[in-house]
Amino acid sequence: MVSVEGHLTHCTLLTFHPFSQLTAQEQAAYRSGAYRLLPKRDRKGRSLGLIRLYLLDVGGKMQSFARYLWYVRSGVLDDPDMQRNGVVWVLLDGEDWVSSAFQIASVLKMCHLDAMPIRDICRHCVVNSASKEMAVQNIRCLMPTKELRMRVRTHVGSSMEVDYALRTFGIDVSSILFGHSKKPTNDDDDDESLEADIRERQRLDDEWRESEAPYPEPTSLIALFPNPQDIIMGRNKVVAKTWTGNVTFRKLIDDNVHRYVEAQRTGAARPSKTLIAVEILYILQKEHHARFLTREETRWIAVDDAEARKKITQAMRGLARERGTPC
Amino acid sequence: MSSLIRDISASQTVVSNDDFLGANAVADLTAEMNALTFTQRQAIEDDIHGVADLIEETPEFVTKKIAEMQASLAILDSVQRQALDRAFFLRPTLSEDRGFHLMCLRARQFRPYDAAVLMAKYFKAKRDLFGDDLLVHRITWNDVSMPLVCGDGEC
Repeated sequence: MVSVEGHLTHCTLLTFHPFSQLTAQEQAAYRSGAYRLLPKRDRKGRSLGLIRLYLLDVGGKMQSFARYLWYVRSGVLDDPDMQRNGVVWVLLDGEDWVSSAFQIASVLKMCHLDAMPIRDICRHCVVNSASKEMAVQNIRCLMPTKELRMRVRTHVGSSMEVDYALRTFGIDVSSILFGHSKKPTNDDDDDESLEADIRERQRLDDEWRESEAPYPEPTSLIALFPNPQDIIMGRNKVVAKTWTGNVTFRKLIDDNVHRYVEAQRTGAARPSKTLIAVEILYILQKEHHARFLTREETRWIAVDDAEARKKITQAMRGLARERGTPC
Repeated sequence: MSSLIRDISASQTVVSNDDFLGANAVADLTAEMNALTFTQRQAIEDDIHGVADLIEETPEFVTKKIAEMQASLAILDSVQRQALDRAFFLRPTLSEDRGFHLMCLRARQFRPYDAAVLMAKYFKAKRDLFGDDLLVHRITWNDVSMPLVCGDGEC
């Protein structure tokens, strides 16, 4: 059985490395195609998604697993046809699936199944022994909404029996069903569709990056949304309080405020205090690639250096006052 | 039924499949099924079997539903709206993004209030999973195994 960890580790690699450059273990993990959208459609033209039930055995990797699921499910959002018609999920039994009800509940809760704008038509749970039916019933009971609970069907039996049952719903996944019990190996090169799926996801990721590329550039003066390292100006303190760029900014101010106070105490001339602000601005711009952004209607605008320095000086004065050493 | 989910997830002891599904859970599930009207049940069955009709999306219909959805968004309470407001603040074009509204409406078969709740839930879940930094970004392979960044220390 391929570990979930295996899947997750190489997720980071895929964007920048061709599939052939992945290690044998990483390729095997991918080729298992444990959770993905299939290129096939049912008779109504609806997309088919595949989930292998052994993935519910995720142990301590639950949050990573939930992110992985979120990513795969978000593939539906790109396609208006999928949005309109919905997705039919097929949950396949693994060889040694041993999830307890506790694990199933935790995974389902963490995965936010009811939070993705996807029309889930039905979940067809396929198990090869009656003893696992209980676990499938648990999955059904633990679905977060009534709508999802109503849309679960269980099929028990041999591959041929469940294939027949699924065909009555207009679903043909025989190629997967008859091979689903074998372990994925490096020689498994029969699953062209999975690699096509991976390529398509990469293409969409790249397309998105290109379409938004001019905006997140640290040199761009206009942004659709701030980069994490940007500093948000303005009165929305709730967002600014936790924004990564603002946190970095506050830390820099905190580290340098003593110099500012010292310059004030020794009666240093204004240029020396300005120099501290310039230095901080330089660090933010060159090392952190940060911009000072202010919101204007539907976009963000980067303020000029003079405005940014003013913000830095204000922040240092404010902090010094808080500490009882007014400047 | 939902209380069962909370109980079992909060529990620190591992519950086996055989122990969990008691008579109550089965009874609850049956009661839920029985509470459906014939029409509701038929609609679900038709949908599952792929014989239900699709909702026709005329431009007037879509415009009307989007307007109703935006009105529903406005009446959501502040707790529900927390992540949504943050997303709209960070990416102002989202609040007028017709495609995104339509996506939520399609997922809830053009029920405006349900679609509004779904949009709020979507951002809440995305924030829980990926943190504030990626709230208004598309999630790519790179983000899946990134360490979680969450400023308020809840993650």
